[in-house]
Amino acid sequence: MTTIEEAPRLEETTLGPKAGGLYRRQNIFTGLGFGIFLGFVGWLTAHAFLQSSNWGTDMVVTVTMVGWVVGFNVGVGTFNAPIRWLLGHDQSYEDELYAAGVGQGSKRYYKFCTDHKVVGTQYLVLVMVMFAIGGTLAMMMRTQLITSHSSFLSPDSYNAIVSIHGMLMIIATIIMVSGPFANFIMPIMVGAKDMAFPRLNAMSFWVIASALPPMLATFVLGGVDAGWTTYAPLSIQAPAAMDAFSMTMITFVVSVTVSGVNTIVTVLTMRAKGMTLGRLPIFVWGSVVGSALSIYAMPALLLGFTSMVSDRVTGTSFFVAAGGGTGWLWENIFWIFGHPEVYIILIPPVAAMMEVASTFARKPLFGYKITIAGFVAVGMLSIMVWAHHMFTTGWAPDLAGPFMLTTELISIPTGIIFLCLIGTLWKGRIWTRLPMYFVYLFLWNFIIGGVTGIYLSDVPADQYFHGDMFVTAHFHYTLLGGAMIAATAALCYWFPKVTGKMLNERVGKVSFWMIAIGIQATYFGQFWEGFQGMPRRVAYYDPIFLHANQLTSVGAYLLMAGWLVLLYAMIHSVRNGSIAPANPWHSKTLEWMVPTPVPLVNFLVDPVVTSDPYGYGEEGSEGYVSSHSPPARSEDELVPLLSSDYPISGGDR
Amino acid sequence: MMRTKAPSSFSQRVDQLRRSPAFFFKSRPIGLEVSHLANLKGVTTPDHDHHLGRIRSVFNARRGVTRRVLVLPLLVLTAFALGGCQLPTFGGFRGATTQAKTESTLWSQMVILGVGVSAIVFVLIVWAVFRYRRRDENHIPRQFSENTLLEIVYTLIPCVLVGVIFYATVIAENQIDAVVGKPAEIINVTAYRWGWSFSYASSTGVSQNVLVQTAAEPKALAQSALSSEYPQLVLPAHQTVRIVLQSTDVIHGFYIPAFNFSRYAQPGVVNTFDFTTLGTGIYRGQCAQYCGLYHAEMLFSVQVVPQGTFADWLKSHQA
Repeated sequence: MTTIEEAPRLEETTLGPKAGGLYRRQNIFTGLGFGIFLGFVGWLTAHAFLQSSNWGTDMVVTVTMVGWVVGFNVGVGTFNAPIRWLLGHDQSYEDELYAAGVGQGSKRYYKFCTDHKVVGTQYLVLVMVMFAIGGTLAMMMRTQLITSHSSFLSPDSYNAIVSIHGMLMIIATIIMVSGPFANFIMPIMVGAKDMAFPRLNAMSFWVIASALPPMLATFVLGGVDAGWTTYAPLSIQAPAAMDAFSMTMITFVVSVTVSGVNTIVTVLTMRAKGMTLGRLPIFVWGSVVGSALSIYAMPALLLGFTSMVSDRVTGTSFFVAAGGGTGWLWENIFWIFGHPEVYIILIPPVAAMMEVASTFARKPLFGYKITIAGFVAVGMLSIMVWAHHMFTTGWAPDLAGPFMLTTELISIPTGIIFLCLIGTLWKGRIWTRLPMYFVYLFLWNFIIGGVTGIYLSDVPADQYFHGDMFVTAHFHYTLLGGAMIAATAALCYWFPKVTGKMLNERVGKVSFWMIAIGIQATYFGQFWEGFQGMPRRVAYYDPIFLHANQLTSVGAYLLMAGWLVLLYAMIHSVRNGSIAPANPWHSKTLEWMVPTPVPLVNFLVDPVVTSDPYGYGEEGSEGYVSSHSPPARSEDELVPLLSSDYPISGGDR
Repeated sequence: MMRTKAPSSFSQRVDQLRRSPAFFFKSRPIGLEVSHLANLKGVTTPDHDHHLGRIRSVFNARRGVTRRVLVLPLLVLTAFALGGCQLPTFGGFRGATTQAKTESTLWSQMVILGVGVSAIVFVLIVWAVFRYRRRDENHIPRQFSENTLLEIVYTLIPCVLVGVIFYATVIAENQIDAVVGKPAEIINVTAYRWGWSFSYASSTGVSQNVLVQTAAEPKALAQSALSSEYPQLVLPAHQTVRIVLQSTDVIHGFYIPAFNFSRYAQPGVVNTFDFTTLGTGIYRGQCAQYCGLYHAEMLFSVQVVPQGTFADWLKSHQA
């Protein structure tokens, strides 16, 4: 231990007064300022030269939003390094250290910072902000629906809220684990000093952060009147808000693609000595599969929304039947993105949760290899199931059977992963701390979400339930009850490492019970509405659905209150919680072997891995060797250790 | 198998067995428990042991408990699913057309199967949650991480289930999608923002120029779908009618919950399907695909009337 304390820490380097160059002057506020400025310039230009007569048309809004996104990123410093490189002044070592946040204290959280831990924390806050906005919108919807013909919201504002709630939550759930934890935890897990491309990493955050304001701007631009799926031709006719929404989606695609590439390259090239692919913790595998899927799926979304903007702004007609296009094209493109997306959301949190299960059951992950195979199989099958969203459209009836089969087949690897999770708990010695509570809640919710998914994959049943509240209940059980609860388990698990404080479990358990009961009440209510035949996205409904809706609304309030209590527990713990030890759960993976707070380069001594990460049997022995045990090895000691366990070959170590 | 103190009653013996490490850490199947009791009484025979050994080799006794839990409900449920003619609908509609009845039966069978499988998994979870709680801080569980046979078994079981579901569904779906050569009536349904028009077009000429449309201008009427403000789709009972579905503006969903059916009305696309009605009745219908401001107001009702009444209605509505 002493060796590590005495080792010089990079973050304590004193930098020269000019280190960082322009970075010194940039932060989120210069980003906001320059974004608004360039957005205004864009508006002025478009207004004056392109569409001078008519403020707020599609052209003007699109150019304004492009101006905002580019301006914000220029202002915050996203493009500093590439521009300096183009000008022939590459960044110096000191500049890089400054960009990594050296000597800036808590100010670095408001800046373009390349440290993966800062980016992870920024993502965590962004995701919580998005959930807070999305949750508030959900509460407004549930308030409207608590009586059958409420005048709380007008139909058009209700519709706008429904659309933005949907897409905002989808974006938030896509990044809720791959943002915070794949950035903060995953590089440490593989024994890397940072992500492979730290500047791209920071870029992925600031780009997605700049996508949020256009999305909220839709409310003042007439509201996205098309649902989150924005089916054409409805979306082609929608108000100018749709242009801002499209820009949000295009910007979001850039961010997710960049971060996906970064994750994969990090895992392939930055692993520590001895960290073979077969020794990667399962969360790393989950992140890689999720990233690979997003690299497959996101281009479809980009294509779709680019064509959408083109249809709206320049008068092409890809999706307009009257102009020779077809709405089916949009449906296909959207769901070619949209179904893999569900697994982009689901796989990383589930993988993270498997770390939790293994740690607290004190047992190796059951069926490590078959679980990885399951993730890969889910990923591959998920790109072949998209048309099950189109069973009732009348598109290619002969394909209904094959798509039903692929959809049902996907339940096999999903089931295997699920049973591996139970197998991990089986005959373990389960230490029931707060993260485990959320694992149990996941197991319960995911049974319901999974089984109802099989019904929906079934063509005749889908014709009954398509477009009604049953579908809503199903995907909320999987995405909220499944993915979000798994992500919450991961959050509670990694909270001590991320914040350096222990999470207050007493308050946490109160929130757990509120969330658990809230989910069941809310979504059982929606299943009930679905059975009775209540369609989705309606601001008014027949009084025969009243009791089910009231149950749903009350459940939703309880659920939201539960999240707020959890938020309170987190804030309270960060401020007043007890200091977390480096490894409070006695886990074996590398992120728990580094001190808390984590040093800038993560490992003061390069870690060497000699076994798989789940050796709980050999308490105290070197199950998973790291810099801590023993802290300072000489090269001579390392060599036999290396040669006996794995070949030292390949450029990736 | 000697014990210092012989248990006095059956329940005590079972208790003793449950507490013995051999029971849980080797976790013998229920079948073995009985043989243990037999051992305690001293009635064991070589034959008996040999027999057990064979069972073990076939089923790998470690998973015996799980196996027992798995097999029984599956058998019961299969019997239910295959044999029952009037299955519970589990909240769904029994179905007011022949096609809907087919769907309903399939739905019931699938719910039984789904609930059965879920129940088994749920039992496993509850068992794991309560049985394997940490009791002794220093106990380190056995570090197993693989069981190839078990992994193969739980890959194969879902494969079989998927096969069964797929087969049953394809059969049902073909029945539902089948169209007859000569329907009793052809109805052109046109969806628009925000209403429906139904125009009757049978080749007999009886129903020429019969058009039913949404009467009201789009606004928040806030009434039941059965209200006369919304158009009524009138159908003859015990007849097969054809629906030809189109849309004039954006995508709509033609959804009749009691018929267990919905289909998109999409611009540029004509969707055609048949309903074979059963008894008379009145049912709610609604747009199920979000279509803009008054989506919630895009209601209609379906009225299935006796054939004579239907003919009279057609005559009275002819222009």
